[in-house]
Amino acid sequence: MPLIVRSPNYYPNPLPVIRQSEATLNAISRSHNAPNQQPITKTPRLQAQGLSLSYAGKTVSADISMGVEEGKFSVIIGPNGCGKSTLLRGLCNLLPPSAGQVLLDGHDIERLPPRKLAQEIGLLPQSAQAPPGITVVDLVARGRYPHQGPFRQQSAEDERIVSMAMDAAGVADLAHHDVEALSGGQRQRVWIALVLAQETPILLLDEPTTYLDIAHQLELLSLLRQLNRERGRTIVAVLHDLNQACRYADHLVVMIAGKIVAEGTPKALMTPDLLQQVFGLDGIIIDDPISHTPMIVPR
Amino acid sequence: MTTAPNIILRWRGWSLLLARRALWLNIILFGLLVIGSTTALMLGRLPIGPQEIWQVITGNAPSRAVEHVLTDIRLPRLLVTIGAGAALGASGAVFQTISRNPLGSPDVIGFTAGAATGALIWIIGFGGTGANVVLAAMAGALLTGVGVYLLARKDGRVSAYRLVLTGIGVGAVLHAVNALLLVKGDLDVAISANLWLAGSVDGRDWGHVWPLWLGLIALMGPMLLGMRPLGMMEMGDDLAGPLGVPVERVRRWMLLGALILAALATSATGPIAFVALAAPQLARRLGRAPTQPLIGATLFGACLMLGADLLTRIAPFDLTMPIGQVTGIIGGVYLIWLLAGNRLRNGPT
Repeated sequence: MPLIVRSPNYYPNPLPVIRQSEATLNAISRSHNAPNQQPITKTPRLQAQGLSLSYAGKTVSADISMGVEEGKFSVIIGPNGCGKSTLLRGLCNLLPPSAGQVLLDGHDIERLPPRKLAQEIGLLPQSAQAPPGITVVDLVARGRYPHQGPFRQQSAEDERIVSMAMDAAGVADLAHHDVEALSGGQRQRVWIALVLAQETPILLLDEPTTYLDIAHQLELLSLLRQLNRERGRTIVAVLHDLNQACRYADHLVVMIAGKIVAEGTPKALMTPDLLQQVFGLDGIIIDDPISHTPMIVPR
Repeated sequence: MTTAPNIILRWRGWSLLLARRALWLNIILFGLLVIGSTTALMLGRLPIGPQEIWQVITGNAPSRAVEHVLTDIRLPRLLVTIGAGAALGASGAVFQTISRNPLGSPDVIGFTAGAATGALIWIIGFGGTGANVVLAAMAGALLTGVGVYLLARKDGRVSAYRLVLTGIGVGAVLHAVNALLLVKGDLDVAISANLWLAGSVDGRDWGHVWPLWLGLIALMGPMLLGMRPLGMMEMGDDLAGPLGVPVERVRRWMLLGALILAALATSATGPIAFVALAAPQLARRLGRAPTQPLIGATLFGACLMLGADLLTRIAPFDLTMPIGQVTGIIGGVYLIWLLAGNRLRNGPT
């Protein structure tokens, strides 16, 4: 099949906004991005200020300052081991900062009561274990934990929200099945239902499409976009598939070696230069014929 | 679908979630405990019937002898038996939840050995007896527990895996120390130390009952509250943390509570094998509970201990054994059954 587009300079819209003449990647500054994109209407509720994160005394991310775009679907991309997951863990205080701070509405999240924080920010981690013998509905109901208490264990509202979350994640039919007996894809959707039941305005997802086949991946991303558009939830996801990231994200955050090196809309950001410098990938960018978002074609 | 697995009690803003099957199991266990306790009070050289027990309870003892035997000998023994079993069961439920491992019980991961070391040092090194041994065992268990916790800590958090491995390592060292103490000690003292090591509820008096039961009553409430967040942690710290569970704090306090319970039980009776291991597993499996049921494990622990005690007392051919050995034998059989059962159901693992 002949390639329709050969030129890396082809764009459906005149877009290459980021100036990439600087020699070092660190110089790709966020200040350069997308002057023509829609103005940010809301100030970010969740902000990192000079955030440094480390494991076992080894710094993974140093001095990150960013604001999570309010009401947007943001996607963090970057090569393996660049600190994407670590940043998500830092943003919900699962990994307390070694320096700097994360602010929610101006308050240091380290000082917020854990339950209060969990009512605002939810995280779907990469690894989660279902307790043996638990049913889907019981597991999803655990997402209500931050809204419950020792003597407020399951209200009628909790039940309503749990069944809505199961509906949204497409696991309502499995409600009384044993989680252990489900397929990997079904199980992943159960975990999604759990964080949906948590009903947080801000939702962080660490590679939520792992274990899903391509159809379910797209279904999940559509669900997330729907939550974002219809319920106004702020979503931040780590994704590996760049084309999916471009297709679904309002806002891309690009990380290398623990640093954010670029931020902006997919159209503004995705250039062959960026591919080369961030992923060491030689490729071209074409217009996705369906969604009209950037589409990466490796050479 | 049959009946709903959960019963939900609601009143105004309050709600309680009760697992139907576990509730029935607990009621049955409680019934067994009442029957077993009555039997335990009746058994012995002086035959006492249920009617006489009732008379003593209501303050119309038929004779001084009956009252003395009941309130000063059989009742303390019964309460130590039940209390130690309950404490071990509860402790085991917490340890198994924290370590996410059905083998993670205080006796397997070295705390019981620590209690024994404390007691042995006191008995052999200082010729101690009686209530002091209880304190020494308590100190030994607590020191071991804190030591294992600190050794297993890395980057301010304790992983389940490290906790179990560190506990096994420390336990092995302490077992060796215990053996050394027995060999080095004076023969008479070593024999009395060995008796303590066998685990027994013989000749326990109110001095043994009080610390055990006060500890149980004081700790069970907070630990019941802590069991909910701890159950959340079974899904992994990465999920429990963002769901609002202060993971490390819950783990630390629950570990401390479980440790104190195990230490109280061990100091009152000597090392009792397998109750802490088996009770939570039995309660969980029979109650089909998705998380370790603390009340179920507590009741099961008490029942197992009481059952073992009754067995030692009604065993034929004068086959009287210390209760610690009986629970060891029962527990060993249980463990083999558990593993074989798993293998039969799931194929070889």
